Amino acid sequence: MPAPTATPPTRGIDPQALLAIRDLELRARVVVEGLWAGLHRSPYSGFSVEFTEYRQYSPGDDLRFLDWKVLARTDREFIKKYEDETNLRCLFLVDTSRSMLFGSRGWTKADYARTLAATFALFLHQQRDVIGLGLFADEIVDYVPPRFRPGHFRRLIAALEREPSGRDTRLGHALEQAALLSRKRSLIFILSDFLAPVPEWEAALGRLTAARHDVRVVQVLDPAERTLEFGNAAVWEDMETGRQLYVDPAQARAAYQEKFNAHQAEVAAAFDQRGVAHQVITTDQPLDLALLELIQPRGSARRSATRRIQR
Amino acid sequence: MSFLSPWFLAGFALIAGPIIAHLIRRVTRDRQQFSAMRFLAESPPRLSKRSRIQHPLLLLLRCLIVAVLAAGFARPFLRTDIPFVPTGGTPQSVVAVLDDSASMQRAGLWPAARQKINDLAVSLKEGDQFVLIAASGAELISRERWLQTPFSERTGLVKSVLAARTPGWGPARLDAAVEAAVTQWEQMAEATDSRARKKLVVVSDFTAGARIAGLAGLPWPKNCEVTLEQLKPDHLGDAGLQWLGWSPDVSSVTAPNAPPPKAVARVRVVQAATEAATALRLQLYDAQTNRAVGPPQDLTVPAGDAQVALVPIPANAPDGPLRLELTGDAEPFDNTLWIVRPAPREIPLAYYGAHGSDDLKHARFYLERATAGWKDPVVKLHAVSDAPAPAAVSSTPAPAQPANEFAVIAEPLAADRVATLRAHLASGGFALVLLNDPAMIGTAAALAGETGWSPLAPRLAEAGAQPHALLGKIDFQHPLFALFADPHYSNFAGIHFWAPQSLVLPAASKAAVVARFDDNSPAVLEIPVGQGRLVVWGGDWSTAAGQWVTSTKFIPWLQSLFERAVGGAVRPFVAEVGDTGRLITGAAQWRPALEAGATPVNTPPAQPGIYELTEAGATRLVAVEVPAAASNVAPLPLDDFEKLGVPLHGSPVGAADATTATKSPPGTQTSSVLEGRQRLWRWLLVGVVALLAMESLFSYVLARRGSATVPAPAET
Repeated sequence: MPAPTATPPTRGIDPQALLAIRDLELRARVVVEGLWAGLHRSPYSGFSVEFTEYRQYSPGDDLRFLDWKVLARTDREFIKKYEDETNLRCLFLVDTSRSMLFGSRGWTKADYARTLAATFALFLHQQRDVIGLGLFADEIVDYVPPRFRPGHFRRLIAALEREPSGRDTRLGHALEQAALLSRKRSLIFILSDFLAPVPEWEAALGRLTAARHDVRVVQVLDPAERTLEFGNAAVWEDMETGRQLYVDPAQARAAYQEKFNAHQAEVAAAFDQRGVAHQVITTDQPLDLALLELIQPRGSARRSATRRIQR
Repeated sequence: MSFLSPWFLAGFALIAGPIIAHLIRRVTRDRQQFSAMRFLAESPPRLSKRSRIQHPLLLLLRCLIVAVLAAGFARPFLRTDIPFVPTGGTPQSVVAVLDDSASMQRAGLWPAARQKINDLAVSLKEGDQFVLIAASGAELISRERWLQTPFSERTGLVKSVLAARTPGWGPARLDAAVEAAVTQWEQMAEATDSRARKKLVVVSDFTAGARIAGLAGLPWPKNCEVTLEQLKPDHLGDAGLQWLGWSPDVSSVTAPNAPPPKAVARVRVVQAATEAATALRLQLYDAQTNRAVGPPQDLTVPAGDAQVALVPIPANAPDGPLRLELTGDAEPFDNTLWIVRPAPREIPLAYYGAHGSDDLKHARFYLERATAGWKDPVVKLHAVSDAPAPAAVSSTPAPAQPANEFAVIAEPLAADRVATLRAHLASGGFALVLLNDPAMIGTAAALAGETGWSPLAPRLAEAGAQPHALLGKIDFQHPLFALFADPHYSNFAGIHFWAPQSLVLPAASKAAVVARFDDNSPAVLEIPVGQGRLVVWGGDWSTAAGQWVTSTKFIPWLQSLFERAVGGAVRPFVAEVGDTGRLITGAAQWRPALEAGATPVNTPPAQPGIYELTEAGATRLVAVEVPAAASNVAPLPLDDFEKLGVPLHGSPVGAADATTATKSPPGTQTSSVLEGRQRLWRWLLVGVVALLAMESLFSYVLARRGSATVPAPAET
């Protein structure tokens, strides 16, 4: 049963204004407060999947929750009472490689991804969920295990606030490490640009899903990366490999877009094949809208997790 | 438009730099970082046409900057009709110091030195002042003489003065000469324009033996510069002789079965470090007859080394002065050493007393033993007695009384003997009277020519002790006791006199009390008698009379007594030229001993040789040698002058204004004056600054415009 689409209270918070706030936690709170306001007005009703107890039916109760089998056996009306899994384990994997340091709008993809992670983490933290964090580049360079205890959110924020390491991306290796670190079944958010060739990380992603983790991917891209409406004719240098090319964007734009779209299609196919929820967010999108898209259910594969989030 | 330094106009060639830079294809230097390079392919580069000049206005500005800068460095000026007033060169006060020390006698030095001075005199202008002084202190050409001489004859004056001059034999005291030159400057400054440039030229061979230490801290006047003209000799090497003294041991050089030499002279043979003579030979000559004395002595001295040679004076050598010659050396000026052997001074000692030489109770015994073996003066004692000699006493017959006889009177004398002795004293003799008996007081008074001397009552003995006297008050200023003036030796309190003979002197007595006993009575007196002196000792000299003869002060006191009688302590007999003051104590007369008929002069000798030195009536032979420092002919590093603060020519102190007036070619002065007045280069510099500002502004605008525009599609 798809939940009704929530209507955000505003047209979204301008990322430029939001990212101008230096404090990452404050940024997250700004987004989450607005999000809660929107959610409270939304008519969808959440329900749990875990049965807890029976109670006597009283008039007015929703008949959907009436236990018909008990009524048939005992001729007494009982309402099944469900309770959500309060301790949802959630792990954020945030890419901090050099390619994430690109930004054509005055802020980088890394800034955006960190804010997004912090926002979502705060959102879950306020629901008393267990949250963890892994920052990765060529490997997992910083790991905060999923916990719920006083100060844990602060610790997470502090880890996120650390400057990116500036290493190369080895997404596959990092995902394999994450699989080893997360033994318990978890909801895993991967925030990366996924610009690396698909074969490099496809197998590792499959390993995560095979371990019954609920993997959700947020592909953070710069608008310039999609359209190449950026820069002058100059010597362009790869941020990760240092490879230099003389590039005139006006000339190269068409071929680039073609190759990039092919890559995106390949990425989307890889995720769909493994039932991984995949969302592309560009850094010019308002963050609250991006977050809202994350928590809205899309299709059956993500339904249970979405339900849990939207409790 | 003219230029003072037109060679800077070559800087116009640098204009080519900006032109080439603007013609060169601009390869983009922009760098752009991007994350998704994987999807990018290289674009074909955009090219500009080679012939096209980019930003011609900017190029024009840059070329202008280079051109104006080059023109400014060339110091342009406009030839106007300003009349050129010849200002004339700044007058100079030139002092030349000509080293005429002994080392300048080396071959090739003196003609070169004269040539340097002549060249200097030729270069002087009419208004310049000139003083020529020798390093030995002589003023060869005074300022007054220079100014009185017509300009055309000044060169001839210098030549004539130098032709009559030869190098001397003295040491090189360059510091004193330079100090004298500074004094000359001061006199010149008082007489003329004090702004005149002061120039000091020192012409010397600058050997290491030259003394320059006095230059440290010398106050140098302003506008002065010192030029050092170092002369190069024909031979760099030199071997020299230096006198060390007489060797005390003659046995080491005595050949077996040969008579021992009269004496052995110790000389040092020094060899310069630069070059070394291979074979050297020492030969002794009779200075008067020039006959060789004894065999020659060969020796080898390495370069830079010195060797001490022992030269025996053979037994058959004459007693007169000798000359030691060193052969095998190319520079002969320091190869001669003059040697005199002063004869030991003898003093005949007449002992008046009928006492045996082994009689412990009388002074003769102690006198003989105390004076035995003295080298100077040599004391020869003989006893004289008026009393009938006892059989045991060996009394030698009295010889004729020599003029320098010293009489020691230990017994009362007869009246005729007193008269003889007084005559001897009056002619300059010395006598000592020992008051070993109260009767001796009369003899002493008679010898002194005074009356009224009376004995003092003998002092009372303290209970249980032998009565004794001590010397209480001693005049250490007096020559007899001056030897003990040092507090280390002035303690006489340990010497007891058991039989002192004190006396009372009349008030009119001429006697000087040299020492007194502790009861303030006279102990030692000295009375001048004519030209001679009479010394009276209050007591006897024997172990029975006191501890004086066994004290350590007895023999030194005797030495000073007898030296006083023979004319004082031993005087040195060897000195160097320029240092002869150590031979004399006051006024003296010098006469070359080897020149027959030479007359004595009062000035100290300026040449080495043997001289008869007459001082205070006594005449003795002395040797005057070439200074030892003159043999140290190693070149002196001229840096030492700079270290001592001498404003050398070319150094910052000296060359303050020495460049423009002397070095600039003729005709330049007019241009420099004009250029100095107009100073157009300043305006050009202002123009450069303005152009630079415009260029910076223009570049900035272009850069902004370039970065603001999205680049157009590439053109090929």
